[in-house]
Amino acid sequence: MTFFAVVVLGLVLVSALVLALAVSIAAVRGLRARREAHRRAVAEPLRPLLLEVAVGEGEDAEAAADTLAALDTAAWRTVEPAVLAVLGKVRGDGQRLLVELLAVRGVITRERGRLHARGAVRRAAAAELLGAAAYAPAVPELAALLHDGDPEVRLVAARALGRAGAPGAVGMDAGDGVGQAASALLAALAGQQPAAPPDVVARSLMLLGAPAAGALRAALGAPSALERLTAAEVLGRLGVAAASRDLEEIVLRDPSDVVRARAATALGRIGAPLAVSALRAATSPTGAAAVRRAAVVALGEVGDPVALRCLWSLLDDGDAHVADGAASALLALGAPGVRVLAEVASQEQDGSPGAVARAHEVVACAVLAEVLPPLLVDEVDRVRRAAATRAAVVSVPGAGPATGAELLGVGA
Amino acid sequence: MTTVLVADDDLDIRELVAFKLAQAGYEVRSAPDGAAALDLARAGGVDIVVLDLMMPGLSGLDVCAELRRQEATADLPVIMLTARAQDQDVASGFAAGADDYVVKPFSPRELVSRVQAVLGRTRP
Repeated sequence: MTFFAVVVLGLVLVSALVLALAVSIAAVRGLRARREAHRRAVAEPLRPLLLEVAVGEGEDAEAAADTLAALDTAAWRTVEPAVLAVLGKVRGDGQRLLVELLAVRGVITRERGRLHARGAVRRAAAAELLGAAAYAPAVPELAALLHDGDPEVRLVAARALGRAGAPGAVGMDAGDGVGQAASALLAALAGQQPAAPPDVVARSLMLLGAPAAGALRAALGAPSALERLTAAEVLGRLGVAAASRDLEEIVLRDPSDVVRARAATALGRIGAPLAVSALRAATSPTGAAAVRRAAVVALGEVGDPVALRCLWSLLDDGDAHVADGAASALLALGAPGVRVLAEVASQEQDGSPGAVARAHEVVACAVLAEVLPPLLVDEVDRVRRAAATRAAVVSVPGAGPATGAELLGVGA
Repeated sequence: MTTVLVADDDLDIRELVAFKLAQAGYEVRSAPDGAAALDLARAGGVDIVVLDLMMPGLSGLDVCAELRRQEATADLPVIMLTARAQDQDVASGFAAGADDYVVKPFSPRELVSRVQAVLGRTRP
């Protein structure tokens, strides 16, 4: 055989192979398209039944669920992906009916088994589904998955616990699923390397809501700073007033500046008036900058005029963030704070230049932005006029700038 | 009959909302994105809009702001339906002119109640 013949034969063989490959790809695609068309043909008429179940109201929904539960295996296979697709999109009765349907069809049992599968993707997918189902009985298994060797699986488990452990989860009646889920999530933050990203854990804890307060308060005493910090953050965002005392203790005594600052912020969000004493102490000039800044803002959010004198004294603080925060906090206190700011702004001759400029800026911005109610605008004008009058008679013996007691409306 | 415009890029959500609202006696028009929603709203005959926040192209916030800018649709009630539940997201929705805010996953029954409540508040 000549060299030319060998080349031609080779080319023919390669062409035949390419042709065979193209034909097989087309055949596979055709088969898939046919299967998909068949799936649609079977599933489409069942779609209204699925929607009826998902909106979950009345006897019609129950009857639709019964019909889907009674489908033969082949028909169910065509419908199951659509059921799973709507599962995480509704809550309430519709979600409960969908989960009951999945339980009857064996899907819940199958997915709980897959939480222990060898493949990480299968474990993660199962956790995702049980989370979307908000299936409370799976909380212990999902909690165990927070110790999985695969970080993606741990992340999905942390997310799923926020829904499966939530108060409205399906089957939540039995046991303390919320507390279990919260404790497991918080424990995931302990150690050198958190088992799941802290923001994911915090979001899930938020979904658990106020019923997780017990676990969150307990975590304020945990050895892990990240655990304490997250607990303080979530308690503040949930507005758990019962945790105020615990958070005050953290503000005053926690060894971590970051945790103390976060606890101060939490107290501000809760708006606990009794916390003013601890927050004032946290603004001490010897304290850490982060804690002082957070405490000043929190004093404004709490809104108790008891903080007036403390905030006033901070208007010329060496830390500009603290001083700015004090000015904003005074504004947040309403009439008494605005009165102090207006008075300080008017003391151009006698006051600290930094404090005067800061107070002037905050009041002017508030007036320009029209965020002050008309009564407070009148108050600002009244204080300015009084300051101008005092300035005019400042040469008179005994006359001078207003005293702190006068400004605060208390006896000298 | 009161007409509700439902705009969401998720087919499941569109169908669920439409199904529930139709059950409750509303006429429903659907749009898969912000531009289509604006077209349908401008065409008239819509009494209230249920609007997803995150859609390809024009977002729900964009659509809401645009509806408020145009005289014909400035008073059209809008309910945001979205997975974004952070405080600042809710605030952005209201700042853009939304009348109410429903977070996904949602309760279809609650959504119908909100539609009724917003219509009750906004209709003369």
